[in-house]
Amino acid sequence: MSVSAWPLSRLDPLEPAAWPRHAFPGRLIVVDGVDGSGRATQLDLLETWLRVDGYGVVRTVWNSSKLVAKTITEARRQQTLTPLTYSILHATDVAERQEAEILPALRAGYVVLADRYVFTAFARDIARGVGRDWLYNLYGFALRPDLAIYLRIGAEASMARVMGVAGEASAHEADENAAVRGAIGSFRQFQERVIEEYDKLVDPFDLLPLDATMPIRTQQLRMRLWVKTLLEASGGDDE
Amino acid sequence: MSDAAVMDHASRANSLTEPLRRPGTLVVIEGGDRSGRSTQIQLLARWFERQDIAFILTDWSTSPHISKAIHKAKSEGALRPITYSLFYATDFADRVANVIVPALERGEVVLADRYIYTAFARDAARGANPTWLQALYGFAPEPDVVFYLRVPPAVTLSREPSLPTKALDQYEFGLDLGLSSDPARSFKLYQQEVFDEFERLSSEYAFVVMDGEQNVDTIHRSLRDVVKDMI
Repeated sequence: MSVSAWPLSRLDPLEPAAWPRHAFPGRLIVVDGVDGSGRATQLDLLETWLRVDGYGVVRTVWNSSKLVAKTITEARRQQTLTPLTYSILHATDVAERQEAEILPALRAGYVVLADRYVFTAFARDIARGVGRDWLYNLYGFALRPDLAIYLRIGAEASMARVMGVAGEASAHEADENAAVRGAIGSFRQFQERVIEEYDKLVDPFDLLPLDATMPIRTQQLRMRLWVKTLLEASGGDDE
Repeated sequence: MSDAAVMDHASRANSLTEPLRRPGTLVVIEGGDRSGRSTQIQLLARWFERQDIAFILTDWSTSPHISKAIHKAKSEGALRPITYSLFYATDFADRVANVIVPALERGEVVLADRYIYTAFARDAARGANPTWLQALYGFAPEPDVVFYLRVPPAVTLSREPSLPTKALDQYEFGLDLGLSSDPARSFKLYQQEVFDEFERLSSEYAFVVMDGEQNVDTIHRSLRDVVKDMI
């Protein structure tokens, strides 16, 4: 049979810590964390630094595959999907991007920078009530990252940043409107649950937590140190 | 992974979708392409109508949002095997939540034109790990009966004279698998793979096997007899 078997990575729900590593020449570096944790800012800086250093870099962003992203956006607007359906749909996006973007780049020796990865799905979906084992199995096809940085921030701080960026009512202003306050309150509760779930992923998946409230430059320097260690450990002989 | 672990996944996923009480009856009809499945579904549906039995029909890949996206992707000829597999699982999950489970809760008969076994067979032919698939579809309500219209590939082939004309057809011909660049040969190889997988599933899940080469009416009567006893 000419078809290559999948899942190729075999993330075993019963033993997530034993998730095997890939053998491709490239490196998969993940920056994960809730909205407002500063992922994009840090990834921009990291990407520029890597490019200046001569590395070929490919960026891949959560929910961005041509085939799936539009369906997700549409479904979210109509709010008809259950958490389980939503979960599989997001996995479809990850699978499609893995096949179309991540794998070809890793085979060709690129550094792949992923803005969010399976940990986003784990934290969010479990917070929505999807079973952990079922979810880990679902993502059994996903490659284990070589480095996964978790930008850690509290619910309050992340929400303040998101609302500030969006130029919408600040949490303080929203206090004047009971309905908005209610929505913000339940969103905060959800966000807290998501962050709780992220924290639970640190140990089994070797996430490197980074305090996202530190100055941008401080975070970036720490990240560069981790990335440099990884890249120099793996095939630095032709540099 | 042990069977017990797979069951554990299923029950955990089920807690999201599966009701505690399930007064309805889930009747599944499986069978390869051109096995006469649609005909039997229609006959059974007409019989339910005549008997005044409340039922709903659910066909493979018909959820409003997802099926459209699948159709579009397929017509562009762009579906990779794993994307194909997960897309269909999404469609199925949507129908379980919005169509199948509500009808079962209302106590109706759900007549399913294909079910998870179609996904198992097609995805296995595309290289999917069976344990992974089983756990993925662990949220599916268990059918009360699965009829399998068994038609050997040699017969199916004689019922399939035309070659793929649209990009959409290439999946039915298994052309996305690269088994052969010759469509006729690819179709043969692919249908054989799917058939072999159904044979395996048939004993694993205790399908009620119907000889699909029998007369349409004979098959219909046998199906009816089994269903009658269930409702």
